[in-house]
Amino acid sequence: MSENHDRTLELAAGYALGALDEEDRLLFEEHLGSGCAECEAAVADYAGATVMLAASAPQATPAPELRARVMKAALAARPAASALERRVTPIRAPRKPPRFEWSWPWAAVAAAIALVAGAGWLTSGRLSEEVAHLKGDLAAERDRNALLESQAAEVNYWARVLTSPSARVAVLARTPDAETTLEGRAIYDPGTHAAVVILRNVFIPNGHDYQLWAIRGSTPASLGLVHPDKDGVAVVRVENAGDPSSLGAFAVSLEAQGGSPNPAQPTGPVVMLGKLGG
Amino acid sequence: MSQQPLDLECMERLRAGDPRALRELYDRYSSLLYAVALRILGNATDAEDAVQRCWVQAWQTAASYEPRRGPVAAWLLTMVRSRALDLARSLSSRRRVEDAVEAEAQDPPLDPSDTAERRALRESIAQAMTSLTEDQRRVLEIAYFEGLSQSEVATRLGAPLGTVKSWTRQGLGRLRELLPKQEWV
Repeated sequence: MSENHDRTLELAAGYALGALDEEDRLLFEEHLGSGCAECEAAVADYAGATVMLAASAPQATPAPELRARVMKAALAARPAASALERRVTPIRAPRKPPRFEWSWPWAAVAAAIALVAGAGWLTSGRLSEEVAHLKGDLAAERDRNALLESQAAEVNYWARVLTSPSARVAVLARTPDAETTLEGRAIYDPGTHAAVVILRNVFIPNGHDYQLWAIRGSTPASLGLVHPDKDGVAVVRVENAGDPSSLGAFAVSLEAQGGSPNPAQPTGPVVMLGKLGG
Repeated sequence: MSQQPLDLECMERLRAGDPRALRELYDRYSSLLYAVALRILGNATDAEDAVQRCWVQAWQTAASYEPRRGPVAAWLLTMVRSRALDLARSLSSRRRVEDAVEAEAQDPPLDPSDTAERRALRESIAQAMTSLTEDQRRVLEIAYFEGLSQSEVATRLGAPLGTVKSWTRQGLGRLRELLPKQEWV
């Protein structure tokens, strides 16, 4: 093994710890990128040790509410693998720097960092601190930007469904089994097969769930359970409600908690039904 | 037993956009991630913010995880540490120090899900940390929880950079040897 390689291998611990100086980090990442299995194994090994170091932090448990907040934020952002194929900026991918489309004001922050680095002033204590702050701000802005981009793409997608010139509407009428205040409406875009179903005054009886159905021909297909907010409003976004040639209506049934065991047939009473208009 | 096989299965589902996989990983690792964020930031609100950002990032960038670079826990920890350090840098240092002092003065809340195994695991980690030399432990803690680079650590401690690099290697190497392969929950 060459002396050069040994020197690079010595950087593995600092890399796993996330503590290498910029120059060393770039050198080591370039080396990893060349496919050195020994260094990669060393990083994996030291990474396990950093988990142990992390676990030495005093024990703490987050508030139970955080779980729901995390799930809501994540689902609002949605993964890159989602069917909508929205652009999601990878953040600090290990092998290659993320591809990021610069836009004001992050471009200005990045340009400032580049200028300072180019002038060779990074060793100046005060300036280094400033640069560290700017880098921190930049990374945080990248995160926020990625999140906002995802959310904006989501909103735009559903706005297009709702405003599509070919959109068809189904007013969901209550059946005799329904609560008398229940109201609902479905908007379906034949172009994308997406639908938005809006229900009001949805107050779920204990031990039950409302379940949404698409009626395709004469066959029901479950679109999932309805989850109203605290005001009883439920907005259900369905990415694929069905083909326009077969989709004829939407329905809501009142089921035992968890929904109908048969995804192709309501088990409880149908409480709302609406045929799609032209 | 390591959680890695379970974690890898979860990561596959996370890549496919299955939110249940995110819930599973959250239930397994949030306490650890939160403890690290709290250690870095010193207050619960900011720590929860960092943890939330970490999970959103995990959800969006699951495809970037490379198993050969380390366990899933290490991947998640890298993200929460980065997010927490970003937040820490954007907060005033004064507020951070005050909060950290306050946090250290308090006993951690009792966790009803704490088990004898988990207590034993924490004890073994504490023992391993005490087996490091004072210099090794300080270098690792300053670099990891304060986010200082090796040259910044060297300046802080008034030690040569090469020595700091050696302490890092020796300290992490020692932790790797001393601690069993185990669950991190």
